[in-house]
Amino acid sequence: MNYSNNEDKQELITIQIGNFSNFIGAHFWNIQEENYQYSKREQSQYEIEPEMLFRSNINSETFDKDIKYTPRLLLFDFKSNFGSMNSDGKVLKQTSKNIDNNDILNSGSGGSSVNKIIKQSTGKPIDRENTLIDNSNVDFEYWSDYLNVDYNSRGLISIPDSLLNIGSQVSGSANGLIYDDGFDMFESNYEYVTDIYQDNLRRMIEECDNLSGFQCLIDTDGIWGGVSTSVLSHIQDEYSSKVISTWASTNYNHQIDLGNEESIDERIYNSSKTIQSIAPSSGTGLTDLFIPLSCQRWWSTNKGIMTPLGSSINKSKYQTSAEIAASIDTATLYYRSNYSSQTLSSFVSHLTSSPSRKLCVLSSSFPNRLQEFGFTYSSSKYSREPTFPNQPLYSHPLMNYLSPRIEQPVNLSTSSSNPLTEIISLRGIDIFKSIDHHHDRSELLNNYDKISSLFKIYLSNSYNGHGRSVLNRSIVNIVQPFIMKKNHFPVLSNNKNKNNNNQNENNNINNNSIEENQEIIENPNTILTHLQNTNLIHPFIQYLNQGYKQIVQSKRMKRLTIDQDSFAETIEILNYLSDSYQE
Amino acid sequence: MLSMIKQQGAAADSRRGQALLLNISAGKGLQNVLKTNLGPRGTLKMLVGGGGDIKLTKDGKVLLHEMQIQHPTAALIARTATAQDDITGDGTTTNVITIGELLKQSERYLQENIHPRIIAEGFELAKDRCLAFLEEFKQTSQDTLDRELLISIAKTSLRTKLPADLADQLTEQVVDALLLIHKPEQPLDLFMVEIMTMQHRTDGHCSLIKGLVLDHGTRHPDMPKKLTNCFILTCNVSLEYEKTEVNANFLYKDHETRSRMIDGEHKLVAAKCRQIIELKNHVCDTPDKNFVVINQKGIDPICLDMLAKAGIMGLRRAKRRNMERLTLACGGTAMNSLEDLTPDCLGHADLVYEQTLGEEKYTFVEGVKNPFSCTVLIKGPTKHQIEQIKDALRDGLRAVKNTIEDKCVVPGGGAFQIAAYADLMKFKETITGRTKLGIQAFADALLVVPKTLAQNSGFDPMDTIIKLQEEYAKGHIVGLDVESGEPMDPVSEGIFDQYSVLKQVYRSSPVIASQLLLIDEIIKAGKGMRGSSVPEGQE
Repeated sequence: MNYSNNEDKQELITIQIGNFSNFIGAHFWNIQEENYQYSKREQSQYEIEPEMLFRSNINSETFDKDIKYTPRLLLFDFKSNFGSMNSDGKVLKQTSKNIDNNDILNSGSGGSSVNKIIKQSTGKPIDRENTLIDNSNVDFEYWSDYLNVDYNSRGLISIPDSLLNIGSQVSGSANGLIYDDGFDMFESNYEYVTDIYQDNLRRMIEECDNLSGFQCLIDTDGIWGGVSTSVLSHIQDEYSSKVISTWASTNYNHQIDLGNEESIDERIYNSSKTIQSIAPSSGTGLTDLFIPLSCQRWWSTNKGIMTPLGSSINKSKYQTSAEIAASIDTATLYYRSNYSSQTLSSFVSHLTSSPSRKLCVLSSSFPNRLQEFGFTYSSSKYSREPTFPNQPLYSHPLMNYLSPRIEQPVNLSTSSSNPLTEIISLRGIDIFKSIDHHHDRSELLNNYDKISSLFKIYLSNSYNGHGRSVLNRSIVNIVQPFIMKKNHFPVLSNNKNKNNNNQNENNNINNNSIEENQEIIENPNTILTHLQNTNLIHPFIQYLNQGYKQIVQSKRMKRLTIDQDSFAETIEILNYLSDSYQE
Repeated sequence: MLSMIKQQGAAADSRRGQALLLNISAGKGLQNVLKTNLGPRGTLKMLVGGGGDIKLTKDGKVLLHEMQIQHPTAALIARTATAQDDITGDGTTTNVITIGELLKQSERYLQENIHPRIIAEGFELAKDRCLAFLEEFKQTSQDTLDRELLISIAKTSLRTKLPADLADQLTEQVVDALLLIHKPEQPLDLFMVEIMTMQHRTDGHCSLIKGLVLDHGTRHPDMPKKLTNCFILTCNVSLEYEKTEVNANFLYKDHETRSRMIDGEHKLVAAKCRQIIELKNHVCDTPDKNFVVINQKGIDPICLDMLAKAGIMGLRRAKRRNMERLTLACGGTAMNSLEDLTPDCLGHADLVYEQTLGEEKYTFVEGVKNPFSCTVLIKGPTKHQIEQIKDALRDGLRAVKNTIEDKCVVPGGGAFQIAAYADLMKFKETITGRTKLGIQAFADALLVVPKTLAQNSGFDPMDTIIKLQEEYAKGHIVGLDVESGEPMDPVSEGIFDQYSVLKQVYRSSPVIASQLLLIDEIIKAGKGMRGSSVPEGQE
């Protein structure tokens, strides 16, 4: 790939809607911070452009002050979910003094049971400086606990918890709130939420010279699908020419794991409504690219989490979101890497070749070295021929699908397994690490083309005989490894499962297992992600389609009142979507 | 939310009657929390957020929004009270303490085995009578556009929220702002009063700007920062190079072709820019005239550069509502395309200048001819102080608006409640049967407002009430003087309540109180399974 000095550097605004998305987002920003720190430590050029996502407080009058970078971010969550983050975007660190104070406050308010004005100190924020603490195998209650960057105060939209009570009899129903509650909440509470976020967003955009689009992380569960619809339609109205890409995720839910029908119904309903309103197949959708993600297999009897992890701590939001965040980070290198002059809009148009296919699928892998994948190649001995894995990348057993309802391993059919378009992103210098560890970094730096051409050969060879050839293909690679400090990031590795099992068995010999983890983390990590526009998504849409029909017709969800028109509309859109992914 | 029922509504607990006591205690609990904040001499609450955010307030609405209320009944009351605020903008605290007091008064009779239904019927009768009396009691004789009267209204409202000196300062600004935007025979649009805040190292200070303050500045170093005698072009035209369709991509072979095609796109935008510059050269025939462009859409760096070279001040991404305000304040029309650009479309302002405060930039548009839109600028040293002033300002504006629209006022300081009590006592005599008791309870509950006022001011509530009632019996309209504890004449002191607020309070609180009284059991609905998709912290 050609290195191009981006004269007109693009700016992106990130939007996070929903609690789980904020968990993913917190990891994502931690990763960005590490990316930046890595380039600074190694004194190398930024492989990942930091100014695309971050804003600085520099203006002509304040150059003498400290420069501070904060993410160009707009996030939505309930006020009670902010944990120890205050309205300035800083996380209040717990000190012993704080704890004392809280004790006094609590004893003072202990008398009244009707209300609790003074909250207890929330969460347990990590100590950002102390990198020795191992937080890789714990859980956090709030996303602000492990966040390693400061947010911009303007981008924090806290939804007062009291708004939830409006209109719906929450006290009477055991069910969660659904899509429609979120939508109504945002459309009817102009003063408390809508006006504030719209104005803050405008001011953020006012700062941008060359805004290229929005990348949104949204929740589909609960009210957030509806909230997202409301927010995205505002963006669509006001900034119509900008591109919007959406990563829609669902959280791990224990009830669903237990097979609670009502919970599954709710999720199907929320997912259907969200896809229907945000990513309909016609050209009028609210987003230009929609990538459904889930960390749970909630559609089949073989339930469990999608990530290849075992123990219960790994089902927590902190752990599951880390894998999604790392995958998103790598998958978006297409437009964030400094070695290509691509923008978000070319990313989107690359993936969605036809406007009726806006849904894409993400899979990722965290190999320690590519030999695991079946690649062998040595740069030092040019005579050696590379060898490739036998199966196509999309059905490789090490590729873990993060998008819902894709049965692994993928069944290869001769007619239509191949994706229509795809982007493969590779991250980490050790991707072709030779066995004797003699690699020349500068050589590899210049060898982006070599890596991509190798991958191209592999891909086109292995895709033969599985349907049409790929329409658009792009391979992105950077050498910067994926390194995270263990005080705010869990372990990500394909053989993590094994490690954890070990740990569970040998609880007493903790030291050993920690050392084991250390080894993994301190090794330069590599990530391989695969974004594809593929028919593999068809079973998912079909499943939503049928599930939605059943829910509405059997009137299983009591709180739901759907008029015939909107029911017919949703079904029509889902049908149309599923048709587009069938041929 | 359900945690309280789970605790208190355990099997043994939820027998008949217990639910009622639970509801009453919830009502009283909420009343106790808010009681101390009522009136100009009420005390403050300090709210501490999870991240150490501090908020000081005595505004009932703010409190109810920020407080974590666990009890379902308390939440129900809070919802009624905040609905009150949404409609009238004031009276939240009054509403909550009235509901609490109604429940408290009925508790006495309930203990003597009076059926709640009878009390509820009494409430209903008393409510109708009370509202009818309000119609009688209100004073329509005064001109509600009179500045002095409006100032008294605003002062009464603001003094209950802010320290007196700050409140007095705000009062005039609130009234002037509203009189400025008031057009006869048209409903007042409070959105035409913009509220801007600045965190500044001075005391809390507010000023009324007859014009607009925008919360952003120029984005080009060479652009003029201060201009006088300006023409103002308000437009909603994108001056940015942008692709029209996501899927319409350039097909290019090499970098050169690509940049050539991008240049071609730029030409279109540049043409628009040149149109503006031409207009500028046309209207600014003498060097003392200047030109400002305020755009709702973006302006990219190339266009900014062109404008800067032509000496034009260009602002991008203005607030949508400011576009409306700008044309109201400066004149001219907002342009959606530049094709039919004429000098008539331009507005005018004497002075446009930029001010930088730390990271923030502000642009002032001042000296406009006949403004129908204005800005109240709040400056304060700390965030929580600004917040406090902002909340109060909002209430003050609503209070004045209510008065202008009601075209009547009600004497304040508890005068209405004292008078209505006496009226209800008369009414009680005409009713036979046990319903009387309900009316008595209602009348007693009315007195909670003057009682609390007296209590918060440090006087004995019973003493004060009796003094006031004796004075009223002599045929005067009396309110409580919170300074001396003595009766005073609210009309001559200039203490007025708003008609619509009182009407709303005494219409909604008996309804919710009788509903709560008629609840005999609290039953947990639903299957008892935790909702699956509930985001954390919702329950």
